Amino acid sequence: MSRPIARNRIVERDELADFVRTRHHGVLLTRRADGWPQGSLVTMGVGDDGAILVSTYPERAKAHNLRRDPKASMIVMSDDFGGEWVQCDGTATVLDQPDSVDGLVEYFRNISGEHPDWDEYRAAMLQQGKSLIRLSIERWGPIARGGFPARLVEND
Amino acid sequence: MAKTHHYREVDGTYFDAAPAGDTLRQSIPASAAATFRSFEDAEAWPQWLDAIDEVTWTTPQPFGVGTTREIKGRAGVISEYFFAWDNGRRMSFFFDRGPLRVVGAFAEDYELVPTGDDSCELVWRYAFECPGGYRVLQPLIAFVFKRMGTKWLGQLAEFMAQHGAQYG
Repeated sequence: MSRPIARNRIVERDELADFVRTRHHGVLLTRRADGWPQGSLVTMGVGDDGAILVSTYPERAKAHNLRRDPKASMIVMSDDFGGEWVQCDGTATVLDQPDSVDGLVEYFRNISGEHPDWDEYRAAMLQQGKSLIRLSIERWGPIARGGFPARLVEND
Repeated sequence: MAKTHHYREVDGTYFDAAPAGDTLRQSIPASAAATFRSFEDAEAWPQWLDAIDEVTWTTPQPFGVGTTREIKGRAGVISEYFFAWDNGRRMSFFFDRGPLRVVGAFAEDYELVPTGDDSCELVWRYAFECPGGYRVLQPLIAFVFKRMGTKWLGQLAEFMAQHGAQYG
């Protein structure tokens, strides 16, 4: 079996948006008070404006970090660990109840395209005290796939 | 009109095997027999399970394993297949087809345990899974559904307190 070659492809915003919209797993990077990065494995969706949406709770470390320093990065992963991924950088806002509910509806609707009872969903989100992180993408790297450098594979 | 999806057929083992679901218990101020008869009454369901507007049995009486029904609600029409039926005691069904694409399989089990001449306990189990990219929504749906289910069971107890005599 041939060895995979690491590949990068530069994409414009529309293609990035298409890539991110269909993926729901990522690593969110925020910054702790002492400057060290904090990584959080998260599930995610995309808002109507293309922002990355992450549901969370107000007491979580990532929410605290983002209130202090809104700069954040998301590594958006494929379901297959060997699949493509991309790093998106941007500015995040943390919305708590009740301001988070509209965004949580957007999160669910944009993944599912439906929900039989939005009133029940809104009430449940309020009861759960859910917060929402909204990461506006300002810059992004290439869509990448891991592997060996081409110079090694081509010499096989 | 929403596309119709066919859901995965399951059996009683699914309630333990499914990735999402729960068991809720509710005291009912009516006998198990009367409560079960109310389950057979299509008119009764929308009065306590308020996500349902209309129930239609789509196979003739007597009901049993293989009975089917359609439930009409805000999401559209869902067809259900009863894979377990023990008169006066238990019924279980799975979703056969419907408009919900976030569901890959879904089942409910209603077990009535007598606790007195005019009382019983409903042990209600539900189990489901979200397919593919919708799996990310499973915990949210689980939370919302449990919340709704808790409300419905309370409303069933109230319904039987008021109307139990007509099924006695």
